[in-house]
Amino acid sequence: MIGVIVWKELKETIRDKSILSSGFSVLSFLTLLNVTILKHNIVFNVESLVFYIAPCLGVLAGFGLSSRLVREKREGVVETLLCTPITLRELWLGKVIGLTLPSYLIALMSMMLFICLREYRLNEVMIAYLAIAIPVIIASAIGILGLLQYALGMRQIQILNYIVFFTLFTILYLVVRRLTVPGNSIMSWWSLGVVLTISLTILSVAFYLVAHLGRERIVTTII
Amino acid sequence: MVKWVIEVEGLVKKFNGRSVLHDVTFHVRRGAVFGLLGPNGAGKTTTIRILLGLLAPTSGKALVLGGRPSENRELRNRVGVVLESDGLFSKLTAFENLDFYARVYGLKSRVEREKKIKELLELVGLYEVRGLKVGYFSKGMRRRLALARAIIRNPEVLFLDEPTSGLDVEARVIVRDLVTKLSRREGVTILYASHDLEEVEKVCSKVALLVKGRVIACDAIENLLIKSSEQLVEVYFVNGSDALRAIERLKELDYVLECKRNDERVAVLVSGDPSRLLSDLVGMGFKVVEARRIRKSLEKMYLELVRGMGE
Repeated sequence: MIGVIVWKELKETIRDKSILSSGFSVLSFLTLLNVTILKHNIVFNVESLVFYIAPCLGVLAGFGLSSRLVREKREGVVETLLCTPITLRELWLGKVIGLTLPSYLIALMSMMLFICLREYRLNEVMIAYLAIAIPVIIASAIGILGLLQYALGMRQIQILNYIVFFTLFTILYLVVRRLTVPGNSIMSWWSLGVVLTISLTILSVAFYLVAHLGRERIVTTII
Repeated sequence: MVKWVIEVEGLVKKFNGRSVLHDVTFHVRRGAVFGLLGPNGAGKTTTIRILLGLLAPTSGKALVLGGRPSENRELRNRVGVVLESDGLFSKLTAFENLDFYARVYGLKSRVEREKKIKELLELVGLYEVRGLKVGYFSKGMRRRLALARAIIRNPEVLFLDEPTSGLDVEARVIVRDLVTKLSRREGVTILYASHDLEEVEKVCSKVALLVKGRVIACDAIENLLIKSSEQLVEVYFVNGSDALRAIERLKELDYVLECKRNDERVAVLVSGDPSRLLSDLVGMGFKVVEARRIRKSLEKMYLELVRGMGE
């Protein structure tokens, strides 16, 4: 059942113009970053930069795509889906996977491009971070966002969107500012473990809570 | 075998302490097309949502096929729905939408799915546009596709909430024919919520009239029309002068509300049982050639009942 939802989400993503705008935003940001670095000859740590920026870009792309969840709720599609044999948890999980995959792809491709341009050689920690931690971080962010979008009313969702958008850009701004401060790499097995643990905890909490979310809550928060 | 396919007994629903359904009771037998009639805000959609398990009842019983669909995946597999929203994905084509739902309902074989989808798209007249994204569809096309989606798994029970809303005449006929066919040939039980009285009269065998969250009438349409407090009877006399004289005498009877003459024919609006009219006329010495009760429209009966509730 989850596979059916994932497949449908991917199909919709390919046809969704918001994926293009997400990709374009990420590409513009990285181009600007590259130009700034080259222009001011800034010395920075590639690993630290990737550590912060990769999840931010992935979550930003996922955040753009997750607007589909709100649209489906507003248009009553979720209501119809809840009348089918699909359970709410399956629906949520299918959507989380279906939205994480393209978001991860955007984040990974842009980071790989950035890394190649900086002529950086990937080490084991970096590979593990990009291959395991990044998708889990994105999935946990989309997971908790999806849960809140199902549970909250439309006005509350609007406020939530502003908060997420503002937070993401503040983080990106602070990360870019840190570029001018030289220091050791934050990337290590330990930091990777911490990030992975936090993300998995968030994902597990969302996974648990979604099964306890009442159908009535979803239906009555459409307006 | 479950006696009642849909059982609603003493159903009460409150939102933030405000009652929207008060002691709603009705039963639907297998293969029936049951109409849920009522003005906007009467509680039709709330009743359907409770039956589908989308809302929890405050008290009372609301069962479909003997159970609650929200608690039983197998039960949801036997139920089809067309809610007020179409439940379709705008970015997917008509074919892809049906394919998604077919897979959700457990149709695993690709060949079987394609055959079923083709059959359904032809049935609702959308086969030619199967490759078009639903986002480009008109409201009528979306509604027809929603109906095809609802019956993709040959449901035993079908919930239709305003299925013909926004449809043109041709689409209405398609929906009506489909509902009739599903009920008569396939034995599907259908709960048809609408405020389109003409449609309900053509399609439903029994109706429940909901006003302000209360069932004010529940019976077969024919019975409701007969039970209606006002009845119209046409009486044919031998000649016009007899008819004229009869009008004068009829006005004296307390149960006669209104009389209108057209040559030897008199239309009499009576309150309560109309059979006494003929015996009274004969008792008065009139020669009655023919007397027949005129069937009132459902619309007239509906307005009578709804106005009686102060709606």
